[in-house]
Amino acid sequence: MFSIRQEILITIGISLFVLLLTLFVVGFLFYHQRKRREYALQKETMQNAFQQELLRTQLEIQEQTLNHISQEIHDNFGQTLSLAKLHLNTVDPQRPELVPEKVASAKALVSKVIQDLRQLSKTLHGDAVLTAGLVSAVRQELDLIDRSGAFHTQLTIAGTPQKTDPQKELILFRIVQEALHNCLKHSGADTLTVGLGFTGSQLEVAVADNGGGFPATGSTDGSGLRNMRSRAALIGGQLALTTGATGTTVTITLPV
Amino acid sequence: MTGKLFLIYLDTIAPFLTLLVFAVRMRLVLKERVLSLLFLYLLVQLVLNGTANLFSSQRINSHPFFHLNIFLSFFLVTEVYRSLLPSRHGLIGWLRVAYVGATALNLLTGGSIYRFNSFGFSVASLLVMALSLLYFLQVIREPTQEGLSRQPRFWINVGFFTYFTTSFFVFITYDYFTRKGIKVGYLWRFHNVMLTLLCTYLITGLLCSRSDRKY
Repeated sequence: MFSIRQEILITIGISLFVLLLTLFVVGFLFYHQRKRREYALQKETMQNAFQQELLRTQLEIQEQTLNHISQEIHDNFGQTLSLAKLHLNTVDPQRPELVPEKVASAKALVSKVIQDLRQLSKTLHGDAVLTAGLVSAVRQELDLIDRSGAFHTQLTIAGTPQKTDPQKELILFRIVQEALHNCLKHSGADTLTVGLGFTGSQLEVAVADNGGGFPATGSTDGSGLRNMRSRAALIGGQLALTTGATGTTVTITLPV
Repeated sequence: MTGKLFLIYLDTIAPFLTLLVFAVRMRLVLKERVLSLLFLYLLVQLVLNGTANLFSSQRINSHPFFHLNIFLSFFLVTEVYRSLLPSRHGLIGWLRVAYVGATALNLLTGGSIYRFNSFGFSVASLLVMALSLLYFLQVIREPTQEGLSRQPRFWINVGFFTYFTTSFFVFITYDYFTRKGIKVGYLWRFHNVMLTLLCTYLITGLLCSRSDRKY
């Protein structure tokens, strides 16, 4: 058995060990609080970045809408109304037999302008994506490209469309828009396809063209591609790019 | 003063020096309830430990002062925890009742105020340890924007936690050793060092305190 002196020393030893434990507890609390604060700060930074990106996306969409309207006014309404005016200007009272035909042509042209204006007014809503949803917004975007006549577009939907966070949808839509515009500008394709795949846990969006592709590696991403990647990451998604002689596909996968 | 003598009287010297630091910020101490309670706690330590040391040096039994010390200390410390744990007032009330009951039971079943009250000291230590852990739990569950090192309440709690946890084994074995007629100066000197550590934490808490801080 222990001697009394040893017993006393054991008691002091245990107390010192407990002292170490208390220091450990205090150290752990400091560590825990520091980690927690770091996490809170990181979360706040991410939220701020998300809000900034959202704002930037909204501004870009508004700018695109205004550009589209300006283009429509110049190329479509201006031309059509000028043509209608020409028809009306050439109405000759001396030749009454030609009047009904010219008026009918002018009426048809004005009707077309009215119809196009109605169509255009739908795109005026900056928050169209937020209210109508991703599927509707993508369809509308493809319609606009289709109307140019230079490209054939196709939308495929797999699974049952689900509503996700509207703010995330807006950013996702902007990525799709950017991918489509890249195809229009650089691919040399004549067919663009957008595929929306809804599974229970994730949403997959694929933008594909039948162009000539381009030499792409991760390290040589252009600013547009980097921008799309960072946007996808911001909404918790991933962006993958495949390119080859038969075309390019940009795929965004987003957990829902 | 030799090193040994210094350690023997450390349970009086440490509270005395801490009280001096508190006195420098007396306006704040009087304004804040927790600091006022700590001031009283230190005063109890100074007066009762000092008197006990004086009696011991005259070879007079000083244990009644230790009984009084732990009794008053327990109530002052639990009063501090009433401020640190506002949602635990009921529990603290029950702990006080439990402590009084345990002390009374101890005295009725052979305990004496002329012997070291290992039971009372140990029970009080355990109860204060429980309250300290509850406070730590509160810190983990309800983090504040302010860093822990700037929170006076945190340092005060660390002080009590360290003192009562480390002294627990001294308290629980002290009566056992003295009953065997062994001089246990080592143990009490170790306890005095822990009390000094408590005083250091209390000073840290005081120095973190600002007059506009809410307790």
